[in-house]
Amino acid sequence: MPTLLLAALFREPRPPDMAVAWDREGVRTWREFSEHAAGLAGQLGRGTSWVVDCASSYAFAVALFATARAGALAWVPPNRQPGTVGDLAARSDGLLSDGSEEPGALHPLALSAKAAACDLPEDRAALHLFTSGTTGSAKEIPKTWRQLDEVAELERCFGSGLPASTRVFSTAPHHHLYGLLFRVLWPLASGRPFQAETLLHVEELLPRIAEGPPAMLAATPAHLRRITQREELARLRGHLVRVFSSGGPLPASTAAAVEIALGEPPVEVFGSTESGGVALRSQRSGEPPPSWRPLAPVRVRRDAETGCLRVTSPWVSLGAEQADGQLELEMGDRVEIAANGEFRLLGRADRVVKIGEKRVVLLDMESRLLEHGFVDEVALVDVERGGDARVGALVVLSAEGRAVHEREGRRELGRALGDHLAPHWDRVVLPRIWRVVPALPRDERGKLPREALLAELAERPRSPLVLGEERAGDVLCRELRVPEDLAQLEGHFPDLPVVPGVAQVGWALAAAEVLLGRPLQAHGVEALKFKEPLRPGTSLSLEVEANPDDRAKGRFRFRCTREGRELSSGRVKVEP
Amino acid sequence: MDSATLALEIKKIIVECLALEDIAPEEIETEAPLFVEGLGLDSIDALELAMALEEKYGVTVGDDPDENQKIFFSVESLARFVTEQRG
Repeated sequence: MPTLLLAALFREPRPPDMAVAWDREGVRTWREFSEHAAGLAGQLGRGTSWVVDCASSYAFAVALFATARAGALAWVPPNRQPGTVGDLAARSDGLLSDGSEEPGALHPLALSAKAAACDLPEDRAALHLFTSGTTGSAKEIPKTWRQLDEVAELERCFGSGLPASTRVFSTAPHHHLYGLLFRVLWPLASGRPFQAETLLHVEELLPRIAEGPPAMLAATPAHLRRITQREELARLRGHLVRVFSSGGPLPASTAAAVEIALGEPPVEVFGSTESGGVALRSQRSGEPPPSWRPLAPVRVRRDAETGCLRVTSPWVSLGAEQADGQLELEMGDRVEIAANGEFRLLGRADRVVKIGEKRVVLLDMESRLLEHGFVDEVALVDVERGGDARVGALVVLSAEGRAVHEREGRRELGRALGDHLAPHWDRVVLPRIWRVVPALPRDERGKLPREALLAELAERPRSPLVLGEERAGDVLCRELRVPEDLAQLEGHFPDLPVVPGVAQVGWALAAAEVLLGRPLQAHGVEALKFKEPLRPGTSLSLEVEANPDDRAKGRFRFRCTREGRELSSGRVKVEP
Repeated sequence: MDSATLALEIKKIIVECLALEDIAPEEIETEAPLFVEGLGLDSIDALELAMALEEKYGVTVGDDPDENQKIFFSVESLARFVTEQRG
């Protein structure tokens, strides 16, 4: 099956029983696809713009090509949050969705009709994607079919290693350009079937890849990292014939793990919604990280003033028109370009970060937070937690915010602010770490150095250092040291912090779990005494005891001492 | 191990492996939804949690997305899954 240009998809007849996709209903053939698209197109009347929001990539593809067949424009929301989809739908002629309860929404697979041959307009915007711009709110990115014909270049680069029966799997959402190209449009143009369902867990994905003809996978780095941690991957050698990664930097360790398991490293794709694909590379283990090699029709140069990458190609959809009619786009990535055109990325020039595979403009999110009555000032920064990038927030509270913080704590505060953001962003990019600060850590020039923001967000220890532990019968004794930056420190005077009593009970509970050999939950504390304040940076002895009588009654006793003087003591009730 | 103890252990895993702040394991409601509403976990958390459960209990989720959605609904459903898997 020769690769078609997208505008010519319905020009010539294709084999009616060619597999286009598969979902829970089984295989969807070309006949079904073209008839679904024609059936939906017939329902679109004179509408000029339709919002497409589908869970199934097959229904999504039907909706896209139906709007094109009807001469209309498809708006593809940047995420599937009801707030985002609803806002857009209100400005459009209607919603095309396979799961919406909105009245008037059309299901893309509701009707079939005979599909007449036709050409789609090549140079008129066929769909609008959305991305977070560098300033302001979400930016509409128009795409013509010609600008999406990047898939023909992908076919030229990789097609010979992928037989027509190769099944296409992806963990990238189809409403982002990477997923749109790799999981929907390239398979459609080249006649390879794609998986319509989105699988969240790698445990769901790998068995499906294993059964049936060979497969390719277009993954995001977050998924690929998890996939390489599964032993089954090595059993897919020779079967999973090509792996792509895009949507953020791919750790060298993940690339190496793919190479070891499958014999070939993943192909990394660098690009953006506005530019389309720009360059490829493959990291090989034992070799220094390679430069990015531009795709054949892509021209790159470095902007002398900003040091950022400038890209010209037939797939760029926003930018300055060049002599040959192509557009040139300045990207937000600082770059170093070698004489042969290959380049290295030196980091972002703006405050756009990738969380999961989602691009988020921290400035936008800050503006949105400043609208909230709790917030006087806010600074956001990307921070690593458990191997993944997350957003951290430093907040200076208003009087109203301070009252809530004091009354209900940081968790409720973070939840309220998160709920304020949730309708507009994917949950995964919402701030995960909240810090309430008296002032933002500005330097003498009034700027917010990244290091200072990260220092505020650093995880503070929640437990004391255990310097020694001894056990004798029913008693466990620990020598502890209180860290200077313990997370739970409190006190009425900032220069005289104390360890709250509840934290000491928590330490006793942790020691009692060791003594009793099971997880415990405190149901209450009796005879609790705090005799002296416990300050950070000091040492203490903690004793927990549970004799047979205590055990039967479901309790243990604890005592904190320093140099023979009692600091605190009490009895903690637990389940027997 | 009884079910309340197992549930508490799972809550501790959730707090520790997902680096959740501002919430103690005991504060997680056993029956409340973990994702989107309720605790508000996200898609990266789901991947991380599946790995942590496998490491701790040697249990692996299956390949049925609907079934997995049910398993990952709450601490209670996770505890039930761990108990059944370990037999």
